[in-house]
Parts: sequence; structure tokens; C-alpha cells
Amino acid sequence: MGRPPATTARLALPSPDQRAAAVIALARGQAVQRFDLLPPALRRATTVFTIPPAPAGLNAAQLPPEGTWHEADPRQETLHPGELARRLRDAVGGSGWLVGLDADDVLAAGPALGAGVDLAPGGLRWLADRRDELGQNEGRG
Amino acid sequence: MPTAAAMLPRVLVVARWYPSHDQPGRGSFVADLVATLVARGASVMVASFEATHVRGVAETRPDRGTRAAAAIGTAIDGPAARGGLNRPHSWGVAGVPVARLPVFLDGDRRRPDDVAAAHAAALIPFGLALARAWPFDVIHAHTGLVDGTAALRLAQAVGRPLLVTEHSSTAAGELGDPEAAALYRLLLGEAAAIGSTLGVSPDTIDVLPNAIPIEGFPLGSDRDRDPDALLFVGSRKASKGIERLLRAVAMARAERPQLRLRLIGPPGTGEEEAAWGALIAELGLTGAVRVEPAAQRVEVAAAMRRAGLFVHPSPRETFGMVVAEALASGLPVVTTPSGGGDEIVGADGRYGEVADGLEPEALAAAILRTHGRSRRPEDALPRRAYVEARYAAPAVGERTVGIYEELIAAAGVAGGAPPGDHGETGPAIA
Repeated sequence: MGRPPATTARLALPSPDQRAAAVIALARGQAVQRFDLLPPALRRATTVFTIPPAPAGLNAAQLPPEGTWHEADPRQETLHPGELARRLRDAVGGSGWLVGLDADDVLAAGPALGAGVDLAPGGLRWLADRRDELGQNEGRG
Repeated sequence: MPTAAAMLPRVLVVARWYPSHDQPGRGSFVADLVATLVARGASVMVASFEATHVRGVAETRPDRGTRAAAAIGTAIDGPAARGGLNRPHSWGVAGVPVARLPVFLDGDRRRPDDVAAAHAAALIPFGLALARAWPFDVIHAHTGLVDGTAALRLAQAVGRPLLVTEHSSTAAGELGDPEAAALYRLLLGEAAAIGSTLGVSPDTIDVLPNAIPIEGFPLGSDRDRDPDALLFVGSRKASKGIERLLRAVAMARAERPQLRLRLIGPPGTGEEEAAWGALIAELGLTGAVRVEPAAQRVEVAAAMRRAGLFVHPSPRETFGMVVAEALASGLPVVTTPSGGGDEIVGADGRYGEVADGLEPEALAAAILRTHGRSRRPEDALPRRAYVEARYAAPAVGERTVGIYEELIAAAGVAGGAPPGDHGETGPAIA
């Protein structure tokens, strides 16, 4: 548990909104590793976009049973402009946060942004903190 | 208009080490200070970092990293983003807003300048946006490299004073790199530098201890202690002196086979853990050494109440939180001359022993001297009283706020004033 509640942090922050969030984590191995560290409730609630395993067996990390995982090959998305953006927007129900882990993930979110879909101002720590403030993490992983 | 010194300061804490969901124990000392400041009435925000990567084709990494950092900088200013701040309650200090700024690091560009620039690229857009909504009075960065160097650029951009406290036990080694040393010199001004490593007067640097949450470490009873139980709390990285500790314990056991060692803390690398396992077997310590994972503070405090002697084998420390916590629990301490633990324990033997050197033999001798000394219940209370007077959160908080107020007054920053029209804002280092 954190330390006792502070009483005088005086910037009036509004409460976090309840919109959904989807994580873009195209580096599959890293995605799985970092997902495993999330609090259990957040793992169950999280939607992640990553790449499918390579045919040669590289980057073949097994996807965890928890959460909702989508495999999206960015090279294929190049052949179908807008497809990844559409899937990302759908994942947050047309209004929500896209969380990019690495630089390419942040940039991949670009075409999906706007009209209610925002780039998160941070990565998984931001997401975990936000869920924690909302009281939606029942414990650490 | 009230003077800055009469107002409670608004403090932006910059700390890459700050408890998070994935590393809840990391930077506990920063969280302790934040809690202390808030208890004193200061208003505090925390800017921490989340290191991440720029992957793929090397030639385009700088461009992609820059664009990603810019996208996050824009996102922080978004209407729903709340400046990138959240108020977690399960780690860190409950209710204190923290931003987790992504830092895009290129694996091929990890020189000190590159890393400092990547952190500054993350911190500055956040800090500028925060200064508009909540004009902070002072920035307090923890560690010079890299929090301090990034915070310096923000301090210059917003015209706010900067306090840097150095907590990194590896800082002196890092300053062997001329690029790192040059960055550090910037923190102190052209004419100054850090300690003997850079060949300047130590008068340019003040010492500000970490705040010890003494209430979390109740005094143990002598009846509950096992006098033969040695305790180490800390990371099992090689740099923390684990090999020295194991060898010293083996040497001490040659004279007093009843001695046992318990290690509590986060593991080292896989290689290091394998090496410790092999060394324990080689030294015949199997069964006499218990290795345990990192534990919650309450469990560490309980271990300190049960042990007979705390052993701190690190070759270099800036402070030694666990040493002060052990003494607060009434536990005597044996420490290496690390520059941290030995300063706390002192040379007069009242609170424990400082080994004569860094060799395992010296540590073993100090263990035997302290273990052999008669332990009286009345010795425990002075150990706690000593820590309470020097390192307890209220004392350190008062001193820290005093430094903020001096810096704010010297910089001519009146609380709540907009950034931009201020006097001298050079950094101070403690």
C-alpha cells in the first residue's frame, strides 16, 4: 500500500474519466513481459495490440490468457491504410485512450486519434496509476 | 504581498525512482520525503519517468524518438489529460499527483548527453504545462544524473530554483565519464564540481539526509532478538557487496559457527543470483544463509526487531536508509566504510562498528567485535533516539523546507508568481 493520504496537494485535478484504454505494444516479447507486471484487475481489463509471431519462430512469446489481445502486423496495415486505425478506434468504442509503449507504438496511434480518441500522456505506469486512482486495481500483480 | 518564505512552497519533485505498480519499492526514500513535505503543509507534484525504447532501423531512430516525444508532449496538454497526472493510492504517496513521462531511449545512443536530452525532452513539455496551471516555486530533483540535468533545463525554462539531492551510490563512478562530469558541472556552475572526483572544494555541496519514517520501525525488545541472527536488507546486486558479505560471514562462522545470515531484498541478475548460490555452497554456508525476496516495509521492520546484528557490506553509498532504519529498531549495525552507513553509525562504537576496510576480513572482524559485545536493553533506546533526532521525517522535512525557502527567497520567486521574471535560479546540490 502507498503511504497515508495526503491532505494538501492543492492542484484541483478533476477525476479521471472512465473511458476505455487500449495498449499498442508492437514489440511482442516486451508487450508480454510488461503486461505481466500490471495489477491483476488491470490485466483482465486491458486490450493490447501486438504483432503476430514471426514464421521463423522469432518474437514468438506466448500471449497471456488474461486481457484481450489483437495481433496486427504493421506491414500488413501498410497495405491496408486505415485498417489499424479503425481497429484501434473500435477497441475503445470510438472514445477512449490509446496507450503507446514504445516510440513506434505512439506513432502508430496517430491515425486513430481525434473525435474522442486521445493519445495517453504516458505508458503502462500512467495507465496503472489512473486505474488505481479510480479504485479499479484490487492488488498488485 | 507575502514573502516567499512566509508561504508554503509548491514543490515539483523530479525523480526517476518513485514507487510504481511494477516497482513499488523503488524510490521509497523519495516517497518518504514527499510524505514528509506534505505533512508539513507543502504542496507537491511528482514527475517521474518510464523508460522505453526507439527500435528498428538505426538511422531513423532519432527522428522517430523526437516525433514520439513531441506527440506525448502534445497529449499532456490535451483537455482530458489532466497534465499527465494521476493520484494513485496503492504505491507512492496516496493522493499526491504523479506524472510518468515516457523517455524514448535509443539503444545505440546511450551516452550521458543522449540520455539527459531524452529525459529533458519528456520533462520540459510537462513542466511548462504544469507551470501554467500550478506555478510551482521550486524544483527538487533526486540524483544529478539524470533527474538533475533534465530538471536544470526545465528550471532555466521556467525561471524557478532547483535543488538537487544526490542519492545514487554509482554517481561517483559515472562521473569518470567526461561527458557525465560535464553535465554535472552544469548543475553546479562552471567553476564548481562534485567532490574530490572533480577536484573542487566539498564546501560547494551540503549534506541533507533522507527522511526516515521512524514510526514504521518500532523499537524491538531485547527478549525477542536472536543474538546470532545477522540481517542484510537490500538489493543483491554485485555492486552492493554481497560477495564481501558472504565471505565475511563464512570467516566469522569459523570462530562462531552459531552465526546465521538472512538476506531480504530484490534479486540481482540471473547470473548474480546463480553466483551467490554457488558461493554459498562453496563457503559451506548452506543452511546458515537464508535468501528472501523483497518484502514490504512492515515485514522488514519485523525482521529488524528479531535480528541480533545488521550488516551493511556496500562499498559505496550516499546515505544508507536501511542502516538508519535498523538503528531506529534498536538493532546494532556493522557497516563497511561506504561513505553512507559509516557516517550514520559514527566512529565511537555507540551504535555499531565500522569495518577497518572493504576486505571481507575487515567486515568479519567487525561482525565478531560487535557480536561479542554484551547487548543490554538500555543500548537500544539511544540508537533510536539518535536516529530520531537526526533523520526522522519531521527533522529532515523542516530542514528541506528551510532549504526550499532559502532558494525561493534567493531567486526572488514569490509564491504563485508566473514564470519568467525571476532572479538567480542556479541549482543547489545536497
